[in-house]
Amino acid sequence: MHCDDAGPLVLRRLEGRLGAEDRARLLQHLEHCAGCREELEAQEAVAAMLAMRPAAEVPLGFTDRVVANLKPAPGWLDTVNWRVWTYRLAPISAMLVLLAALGLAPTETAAPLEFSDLVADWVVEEDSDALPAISVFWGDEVSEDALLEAVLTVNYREPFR
Amino acid sequence: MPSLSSSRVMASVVGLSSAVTGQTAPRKARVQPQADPDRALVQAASVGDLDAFETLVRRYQTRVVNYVLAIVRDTGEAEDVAQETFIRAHRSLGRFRSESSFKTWLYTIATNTARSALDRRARRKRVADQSLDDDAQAQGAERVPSRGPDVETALVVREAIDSALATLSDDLRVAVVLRDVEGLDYQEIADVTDVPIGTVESRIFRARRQLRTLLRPLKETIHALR
Repeated sequence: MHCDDAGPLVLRRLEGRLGAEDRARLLQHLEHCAGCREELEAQEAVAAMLAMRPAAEVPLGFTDRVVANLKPAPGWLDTVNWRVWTYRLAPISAMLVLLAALGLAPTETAAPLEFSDLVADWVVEEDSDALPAISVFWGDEVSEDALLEAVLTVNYREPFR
Repeated sequence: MPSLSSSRVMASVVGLSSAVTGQTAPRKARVQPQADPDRALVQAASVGDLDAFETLVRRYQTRVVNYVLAIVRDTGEAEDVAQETFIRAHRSLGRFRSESSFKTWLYTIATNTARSALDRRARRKRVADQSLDDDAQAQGAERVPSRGPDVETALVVREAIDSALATLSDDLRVAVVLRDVEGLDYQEIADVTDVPIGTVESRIFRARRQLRTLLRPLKETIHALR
């Protein structure tokens, strides 16, 4: 075993994570390698000294200061942060506006209005006496007298039905 | 540091080290998420129970303060970083998914917060009076008085250890402090630092090697504190 390979085994030995086979290999190496024996000793000694580092005392009032600086825990509604989302959607919105401005947005072309569409709602049932004269305007065979009478008698203030 | 005999090292290798030297750091089993002792408190705190979070703060404040002090080496800054750590943790409770233990997660936040503090300090160029070279560290360690285990001695020892730690790079310091001071296992350290476990091993090995000379004068004083 080379000394470079012994390093990780030395570490694992100190952690108690060395398997039987690796332990035998390390032992065999250490028997004739003073450098690695010294390394093992040094690693163990440093670890032990650091483990004995005296702990510092927590400053008085530390917990109170932490708690005083806490804001209420975010609720589930806060996970849907609309400001964040509107911010993130801003580029998409801007792109849609731009597309609309360029006329590239998918729009429906309105069909031209036909006269028949306009008067469709005006059709009056034959027995209706509300607007007896209105049907003559689009009748196929209307006499001139009847048309004249209709023009003269139609009540424009009456809403068409 | 007196050398151990070859036979003693052999005894260490075959498993008698702890009994003979009493120096082996205790190995801690990794806390599985489902066995996280803080789980109930974390769940309560995440839905707004401030008392639950305060209990978590009291439970971990000593560890967090000590850890960040070892990293930033400034008492006032350490308190600020520790406070910020807990505040960030509280703010992020909703994102804690129990994939690791709360302790590991808290150390991750503490590590990131401490590193940010170090970066800010470096940017402000306020490190002149705190940057210590190896020689100064060794001299400082040698000045440690060999008195009894009183508070003053403990303070001096901690300062000397922290000064030695300050000579390491951030990555090495974080790894070795988490292992040897805080007692996290290798997998936990890998989780905290987000590096493979082999990298953790390498960092700890190199850190101890660098600290070896610097800490040697402290050995007798540290053992007097026992």
